[in-house]
Amino acid sequence: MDYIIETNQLTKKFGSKIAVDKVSLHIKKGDIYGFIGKNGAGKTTAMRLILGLAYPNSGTISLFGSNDLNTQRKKIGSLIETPSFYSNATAYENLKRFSILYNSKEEEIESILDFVGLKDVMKSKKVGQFSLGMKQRLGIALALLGNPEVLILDEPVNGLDPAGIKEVRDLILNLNTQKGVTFLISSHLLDELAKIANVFGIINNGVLVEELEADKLMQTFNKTLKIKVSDVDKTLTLLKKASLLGSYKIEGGYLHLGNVEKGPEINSLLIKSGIEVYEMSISKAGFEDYFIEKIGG
Amino acid sequence: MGKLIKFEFRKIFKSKYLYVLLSISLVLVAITGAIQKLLPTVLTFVATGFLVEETTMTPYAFAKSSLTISFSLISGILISLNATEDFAHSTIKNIFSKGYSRKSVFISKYLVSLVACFIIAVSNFIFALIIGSMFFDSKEIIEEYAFYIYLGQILAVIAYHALYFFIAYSLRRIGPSIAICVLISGLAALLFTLIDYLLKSSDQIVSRYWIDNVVVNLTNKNTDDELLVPNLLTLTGYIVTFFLGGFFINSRKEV
Repeated sequence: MDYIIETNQLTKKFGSKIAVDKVSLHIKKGDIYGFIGKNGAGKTTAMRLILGLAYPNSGTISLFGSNDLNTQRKKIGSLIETPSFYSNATAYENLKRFSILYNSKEEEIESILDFVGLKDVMKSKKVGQFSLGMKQRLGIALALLGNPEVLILDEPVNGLDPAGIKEVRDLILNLNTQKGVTFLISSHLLDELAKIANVFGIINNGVLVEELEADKLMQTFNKTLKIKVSDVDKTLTLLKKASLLGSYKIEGGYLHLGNVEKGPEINSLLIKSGIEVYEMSISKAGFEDYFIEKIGG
Repeated sequence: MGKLIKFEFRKIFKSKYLYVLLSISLVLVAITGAIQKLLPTVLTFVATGFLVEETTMTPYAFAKSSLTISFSLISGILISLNATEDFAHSTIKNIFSKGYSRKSVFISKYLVSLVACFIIAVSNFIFALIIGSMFFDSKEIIEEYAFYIYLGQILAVIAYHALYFFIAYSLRRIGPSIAICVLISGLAALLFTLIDYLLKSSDQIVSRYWIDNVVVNLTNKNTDDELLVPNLLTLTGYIVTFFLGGFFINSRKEV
């Protein structure tokens, strides 16, 4: 299979610490690849290696099927760590300068700044006076400059308010569906990433723990019967006696039962036995639970 | 490379510091001219009680000395600001991530800051010539080695630039870079003098080869012709050493 971004056994050490340990990423054209991991897991370092900001100690990188990385990097837009700009220049002047390097036309600048909601201040306010959210928007604008085929975004919604987060999410989905832009996105907002990514890579302590498609990931989530009753101990004894108790756990005052399909039967038994059932629902383990399980947290 | 050079030119010409530093250097030239005009008069008046208006300085000699007035200081600050700007703002990652190599970024920054240095040097020279014409006698003596002296001045600009660019691009931080560029002249002069003291040789004066002293030698109207070629070679040595040093040290640095 042809991958837009492919790394093979990519390794980066800082002294004795291995920041990225034999990571092999596989990103196809049109993917929205959610790159997840704790702080310091190696996400940013892996992205920096792909972008040529740091050099790997071993392993290889292939971009668009080519090893001529610097040529291929011209097709990639990025936002790594905090957005970086000339603070004493306006947003327009910043993009104007970078448009020289990014193969972008002047007309594009205004439309991009309009798109990220900075048109009103683009020539009147210096970037040094921008809020964190405004700088983040400008960072996204810079990443979009020159119509890149791939966008590598490191925590792109950092500093954005809920409305801003939704705008960025919609923007990513629009660019992906309408222009076929491929994304490699890292974020600690797992639920947010779960809404857009179709492939996930989970990294922990520099090691790529798992790489799987969103559809398959959803199938692996366990369902449980979540009930709140008047007497938990009596309920457990009763269910055990009636052979209705499979796997279970007690969490936050709720009893989580593994045998979801026996729900009506359990409900009926508890009521007949005089146990009050305050709440009963089917709970699905979330992305967060899965992630924590994978990284052994 | 063309795009990088265009990018660097836009950046430097849109920056206020180029114009501020240029203005400061011109003001310093004017002040120096005024002092040189007035100082002999004042000294003579103090010594003899009589006002004397004559001075031995000529417009051309004053213009030639403009490189020793403030160029070293001003170019050190200019290069520090220019070469470290992208590292200080972390905007360098916006450049490297687009596939521009470290070598081409180094060369483009080197060339553009060198042009900026020449703008300041030439402006200072022309301005000093104008100030000199206003203050001093315009009778000039055509020097035997005029070509070499001009060549020396050009090489001196490039050598100062190579030294400061090497410091700034290696440090990558504005403050320390300015501090070292400002102090390096004094520190190196001290070091060379110390070496001379330790060698105790009247034949080989090492401090003669420190860049500032080479520039003074070449500015001197009575430059010793035996020293002319060694001076020019010394400057060329500085240029090659610091350019290649900066180029190779920084060709694989991470950001």
